[in-house]
Amino acid sequence: MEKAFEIVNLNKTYKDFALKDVNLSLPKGYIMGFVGANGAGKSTTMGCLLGMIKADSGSVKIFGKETAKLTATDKEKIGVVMEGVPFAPMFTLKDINTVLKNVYTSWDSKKFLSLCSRFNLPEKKQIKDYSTGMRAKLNISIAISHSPQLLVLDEATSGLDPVVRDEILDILQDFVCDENHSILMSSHITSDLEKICDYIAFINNGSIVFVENKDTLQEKYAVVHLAKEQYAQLDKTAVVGAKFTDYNVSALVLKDKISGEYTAEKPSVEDIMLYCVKEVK
Amino acid sequence: MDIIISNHSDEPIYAQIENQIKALIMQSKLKEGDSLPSMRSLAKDLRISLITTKRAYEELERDGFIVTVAGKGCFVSAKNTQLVREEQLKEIEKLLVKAVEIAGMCNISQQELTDILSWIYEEK
Amino acid sequence: MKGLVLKDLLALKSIIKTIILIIGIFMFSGIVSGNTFLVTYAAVYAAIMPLNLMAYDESCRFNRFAQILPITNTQIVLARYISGFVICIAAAAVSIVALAISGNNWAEGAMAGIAVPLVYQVFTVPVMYKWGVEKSRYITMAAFLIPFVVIMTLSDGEIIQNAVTALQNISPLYFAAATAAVIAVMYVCSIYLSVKIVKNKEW
Repeated sequence: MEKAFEIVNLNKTYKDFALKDVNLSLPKGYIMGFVGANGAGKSTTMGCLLGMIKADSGSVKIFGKETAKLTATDKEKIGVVMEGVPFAPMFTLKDINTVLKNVYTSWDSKKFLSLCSRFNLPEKKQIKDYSTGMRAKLNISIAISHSPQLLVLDEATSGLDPVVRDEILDILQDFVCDENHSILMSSHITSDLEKICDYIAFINNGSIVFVENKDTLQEKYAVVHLAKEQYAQLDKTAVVGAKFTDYNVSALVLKDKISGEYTAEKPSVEDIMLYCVKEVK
Repeated sequence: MDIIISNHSDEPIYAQIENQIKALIMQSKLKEGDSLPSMRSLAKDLRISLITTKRAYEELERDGFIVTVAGKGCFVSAKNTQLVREEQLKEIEKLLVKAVEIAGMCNISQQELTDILSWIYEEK
Repeated sequence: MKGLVLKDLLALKSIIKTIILIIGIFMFSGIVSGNTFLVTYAAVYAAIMPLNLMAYDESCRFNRFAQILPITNTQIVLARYISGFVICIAAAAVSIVALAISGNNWAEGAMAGIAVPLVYQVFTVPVMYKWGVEKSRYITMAAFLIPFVVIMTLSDGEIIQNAVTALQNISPLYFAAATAAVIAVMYVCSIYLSVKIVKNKEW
């Protein structure tokens, strides 16, 4: 199966943070959700993937080619959303359209303007007067209006109300109906990722903790609530993380390593994230 | 096409889908030649991953229930429904033979056995 | 590349009225008072414009975004220089017209009006790419603009004009050609340096 992108043994060291041996890849036609705490390395990984940040070691490929060797034609097929609208504050929609239609050969003005009107973005208003939600909608419109095959979205839905988020998730799902299209999206809104992602990748302190089929994650793990004595008797290799209160212990466990009757719940992606970073005592 | 995923079942999701589609085919609610929704649109509507729907469809195809036509999609295939129905009937016959044997060992009459069967159907 | 130059010119669109007003006032007072420098004030704007445009790019992180656009770093840099050059020529044209109206010898004023902003850009653009706009403001302000402004306003350009006239006594055409050649070489070096800086930069 062809890969949309492939990151192998990526290392990048900064003064007080480092990406360590990050391995991440996505076959074409799928959506990968990228979760992690602030500062865990999501944006750095994406930056290295897109060639904005130069890796210390490792290989980064998009559509099978090293990022540094991507041609203009290759870049036409990549759509990106990062924080902030990358145009001067006095620009309007029309200005952005004018610039980008002279940059991308595959720019679809009609699609861009109709998306913007669907999102109720005012044509004559300057970006500096846009709300956070409007900026996010604008960024997404820009990203998909040049027929990309890979979308890389860094917190593209933050600041949006649930109704608009739902609309955007719909657009993203329609996007991947073409099996040559793929999406890598990072988000703190784990419920969004649960809705549409095929894979979930979790990064913590610069290292990938897991990359799994979203459904398998929820089949493999369970959140159990136990009395302290019960917890003490558990096979600790089955426990991913645990939360201690004065009354009980809540733990994320591997279902097949646990026997006996416990109050078990299906874990949400957020649960998995939170328990993964908690210590196992 | 009605497919309902249970989050509380122990059965993996791909198996649930596989079995429900098999059942629909066996009950003739899905007929030979009927097209199935694309793996991606099924994933979207059920809020599950493409990997899961793909696995379900792959299992169904492996068992001969559906066929994939390149560029067109997945369709219900005729042949195997009959075979599997026969398999299922054989399985039921085997289990009933066993039930009759046990009944014979403890002097339970055919009428009592039939009553039990009726009661089971009523409970459903 | 065309798109990037358009981007810079569009960014000017909203402030063009203010610019025209300010230049107009300076030019008018220059013509009336006979101060050549004020008449060519448009040139000062031309010199500063790339700085402002780069400031916008920096604050909205356009250069990071540009890394995934279907353009090379060389094209990004070239577009910056082209926009700057276009602005300089436009400003020079305005200055020439103003000088002609004011009856001064427009040739020297025009030369200074074109050459100075271009040279200013040659120095500031790589500095801005390397250290960002904020820091480079201080660097280039101190090193270039203040002495220039001081000389021009205090002496009404006499010192420079005397130097220029002296050189022109050699041969006006030869001098103009030599200046143009030197600036062209400086341009090429500056572009080369900027491209190198941009290619190695982390966005």
